[in-house]
Amino acid sequence: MLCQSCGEREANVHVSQSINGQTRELHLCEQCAKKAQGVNFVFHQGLSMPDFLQAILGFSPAVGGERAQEEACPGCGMTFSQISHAGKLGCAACYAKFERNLEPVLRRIHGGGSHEGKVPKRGGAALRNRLELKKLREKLRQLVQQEHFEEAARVRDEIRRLEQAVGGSQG
Amino acid sequence: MKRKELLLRSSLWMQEAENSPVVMSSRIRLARNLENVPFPHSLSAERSEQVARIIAQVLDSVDVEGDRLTYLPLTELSPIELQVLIEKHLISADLANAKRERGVALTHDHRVAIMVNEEDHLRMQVLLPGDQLREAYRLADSLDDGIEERLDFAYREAQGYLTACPTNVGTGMRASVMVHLPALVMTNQVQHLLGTLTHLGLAVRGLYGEGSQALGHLFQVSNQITLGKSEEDIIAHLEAVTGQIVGMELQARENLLQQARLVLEDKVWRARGMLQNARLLSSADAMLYLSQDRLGTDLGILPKSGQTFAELLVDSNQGCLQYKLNRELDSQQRDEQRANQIRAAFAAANGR
Repeated sequence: MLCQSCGEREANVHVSQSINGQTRELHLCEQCAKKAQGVNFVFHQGLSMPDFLQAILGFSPAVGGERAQEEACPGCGMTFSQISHAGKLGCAACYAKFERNLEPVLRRIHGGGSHEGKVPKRGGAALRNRLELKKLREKLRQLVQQEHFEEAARVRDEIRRLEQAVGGSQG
Repeated sequence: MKRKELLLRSSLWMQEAENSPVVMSSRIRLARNLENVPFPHSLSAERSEQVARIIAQVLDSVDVEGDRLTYLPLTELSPIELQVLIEKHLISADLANAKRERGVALTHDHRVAIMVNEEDHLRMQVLLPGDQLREAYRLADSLDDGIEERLDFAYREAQGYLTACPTNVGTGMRASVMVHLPALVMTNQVQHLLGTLTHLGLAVRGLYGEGSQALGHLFQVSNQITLGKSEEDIIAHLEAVTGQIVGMELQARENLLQQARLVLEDKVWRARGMLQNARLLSSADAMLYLSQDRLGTDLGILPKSGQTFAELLVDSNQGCLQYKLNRELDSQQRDEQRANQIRAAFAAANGR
């Protein structure tokens, strides 16, 4: 058999490749096999991180059409243009100040959705309860959809208990 | 010399993990910022000193499961010492190069490394050998709890932990595994695999060498999304995908053994021969032969050497080489010392 790569020399190296579950046999000559194994491929050449961020942040249009005087963050004094240019926010307060500008940026990076993870323990009791409620309501919705009514009733009771603990202000 | 001892010792993550031929190490990194303090890049020199001082004080008293942290202000370290910390994956190049006041706190075994005033005020890293993402998260989580008792972190309900870069906001967590994929590289399957991973919300990069070259056949796979998913979900996803990658690599090794055993045996024995006999080894050569040698020992073709793959790799980096010998080396001297060191490691293992 001739080498499948150069078609000139006798194939004496046999390699099987599995791509998407399909196994393919490759019959190569020694020279081509060596070449193939020595080849380093290019992946993720892409943009550097700051470039990448500048690109995404820069894309988001100014909200409200403010032009002449751009508003600055009360925490660090940075404007959204400066943030876009730096590719980084100046301080935690920027997240509140530029929430509307950042919303599409965060969606582009993370695919949307709000924080689902850890909540700081300190001063976070009320917040943890609110997040727990959110999770339980979602679970209840799914259970009802799947017609697991017994389990759903249990979750509903749990939600009621938690709502009372939070102080009944939850709508 | 206490600091030299701390820096030179072998890091826990470099140890051989039982039953983990593909996953070399697991890492969790949490980004946290102090409430009401601008992020490090927008701090004045004076404020960054203040922030580093406050954080260092807290870290000094933190208990890491019975272990203490040693805080090193980077301004006190030499360029070679910074290089050593980078080579051991304990600090980032960005931290080493930053001009502001900054530091790193380490446990004696390096399993915890906390960078201060990197892009965020705190970057807590837990780095363990083998496939141990969950254990790494457990430790990072409890460390975070301990520090949070003393410092208030910037946090909002909708965006979670607030970070300088919007790519880290939410959990602030980057989970990653380092995988050794020599058989997938040899059989040219790795490119396809890496392309697939980006569609799964994961980022992959070669560990050594920028972009085009994956020296040592080592890759780091990490989560890209930090907002809108819980830590648990992020880890479960990465674990599942890692399991697939491991399966593919082991399958590729099996295929090579079945269909090209002699070629493979020849390759790994040649690698062993180079490592045992070469008088000059460039860094790229060393990584290639060490990777092939490790494949050979994994498959039971070669007897094990005295040091682990990760130890040999890291120790043959130029910072570590020079720091150990306590002098600067030019390029040829480095190749010579690298060859000497690796030869010695294999000779010791052979009892020669």
